[in-house]
Amino acid sequence: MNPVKLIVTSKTNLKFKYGKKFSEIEKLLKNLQNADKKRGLDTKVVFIDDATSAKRARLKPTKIVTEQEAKRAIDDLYREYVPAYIVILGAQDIIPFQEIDNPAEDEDSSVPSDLPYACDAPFSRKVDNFTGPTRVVGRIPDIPGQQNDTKYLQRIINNTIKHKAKNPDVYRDYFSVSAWVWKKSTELSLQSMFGHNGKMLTSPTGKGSSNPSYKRFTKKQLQPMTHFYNCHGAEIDLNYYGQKGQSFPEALESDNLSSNITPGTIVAAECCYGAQLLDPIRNGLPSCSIANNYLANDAIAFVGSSTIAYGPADSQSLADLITQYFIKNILKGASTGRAFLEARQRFLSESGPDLDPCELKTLAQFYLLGDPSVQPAECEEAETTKLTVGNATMNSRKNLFIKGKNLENSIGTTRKQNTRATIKDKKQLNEILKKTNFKDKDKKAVYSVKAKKMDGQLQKKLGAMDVKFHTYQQEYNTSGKYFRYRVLVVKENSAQILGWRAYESR
Amino acid sequence: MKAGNMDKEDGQVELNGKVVKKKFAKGSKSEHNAVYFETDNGSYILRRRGGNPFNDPELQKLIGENICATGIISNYSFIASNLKKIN
Repeated sequence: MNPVKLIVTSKTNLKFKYGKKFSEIEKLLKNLQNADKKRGLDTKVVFIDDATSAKRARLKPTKIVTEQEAKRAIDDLYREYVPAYIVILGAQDIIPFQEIDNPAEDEDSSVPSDLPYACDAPFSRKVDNFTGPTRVVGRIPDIPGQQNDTKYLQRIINNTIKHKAKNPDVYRDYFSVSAWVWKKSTELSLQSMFGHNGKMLTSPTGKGSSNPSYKRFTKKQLQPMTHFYNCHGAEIDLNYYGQKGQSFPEALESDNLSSNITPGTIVAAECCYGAQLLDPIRNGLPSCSIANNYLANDAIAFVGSSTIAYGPADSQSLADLITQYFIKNILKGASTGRAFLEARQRFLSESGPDLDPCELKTLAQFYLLGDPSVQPAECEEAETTKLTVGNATMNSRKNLFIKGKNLENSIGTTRKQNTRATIKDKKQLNEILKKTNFKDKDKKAVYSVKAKKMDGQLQKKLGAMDVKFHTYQQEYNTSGKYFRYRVLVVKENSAQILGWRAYESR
Repeated sequence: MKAGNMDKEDGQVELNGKVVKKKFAKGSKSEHNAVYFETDNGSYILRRRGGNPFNDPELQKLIGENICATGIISNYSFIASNLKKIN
């Protein structure tokens, strides 16, 4: 039996958007099904709001494609078919993102997310209900808003059909841009992914003017097939930005990508709003977002954030980790979807069992754009696995399912406290505040993490299992124009401070 | 300040308000002056469409002025496509 790939979309929303050209999308999906069949996948297309299609899939159709109904439909379909891949077809105006309550203390009112679609837990807005991802999920987006034709989807789907796994060495050649202020952190990420960081570019360069005008990257510069960004980003904006002091030059302009990307390129962006999908017309923008534009110009996968993302300036955490785990898994020969699921699981495994608010936000806000069944790089290791295990895909899914369930059962539940509990060890706290340039009068919040019950005796011997995170937040402004955030997270149990981390918004 | 027209058909809104500086993270190393658009409808970080969201000198010139701005509101930002001073 071939592994199932499930393509989930909405007929009503596609017809509303594309009118008579909807039939072209049906034809495209048929082509994709045929191509998938040749590579051993049983691809099923389900219009969750169409009675005939839903009945064929043994699904109760949705009347309106709300967040809750989309989640219910995907959960029901998952239980019916246990697909190896779930593809969400369309941007948020076709199948909505799940809006998660923002666990961090920043200005994002909610976090658009595909994480709940990757989890067995039922519909909820609380991210800590989704700490056990088990499903391979990716979204083939179109451009949000009214469209005159289906060229964008044609291009992405045809690229998916055409892609052949390549020698992993072609993905070891990278193009990377870092905000100058975060170059230490980016160097560590590149070292970890590629074994060297000699090709990192910074914005600004550090030489000459600190506020240079944008110099377009050439096709040759953009030629490498892995792209990695650690820059600033802003909502409803088509660029990424660098930083040195109070200078914030453009690090990448969306239209620089046009006709300059090598087919099959993979992208990971740590930037705030790095993967946002924007309606250009409604927002008065001259073109589509960087994420949309990468895919329009033949990139095969894009991982990035929907909202304000975090990471440290000089070390590794949060956005640094989830993006680099994704790339590393690609280099090992994983499909983009498996690479991203494993990245989420590893992020949870390394960050847990107690997740602070920024870690929870990171988990929710990063998503994969592109067909999750595409395998960018072939690897000898993967071939060996196939030979020895037989049906490697389903075996891998079983392992990932069990791993996700174990994470769900071990990650504690984080809740914001209404009371202003204070840290007992004042001396150590003051040392931490001094070292990190935070003040006791900065905006504070307290989160308690309730540990999952395991072996009661062992839990007692290991010391207090329930912990608190105390956050200190500085909301500052760069040249008087825009919010940035610094967050200090101090972890303590009932007896002592266990550790601390300082993050900056990207 | 009076709020302007909130019901433009293209999703844009027109608001009257005052451009002000506000301090953030007072007393910290990161203390900065921020540019806000204070209206009856709420207080927003002010940006210009197509302007650098982190460094737009045109907005600095408007601090202290009453303005009428047309644009879109998203999350916590007012992204203006048109700005004009009013008396």
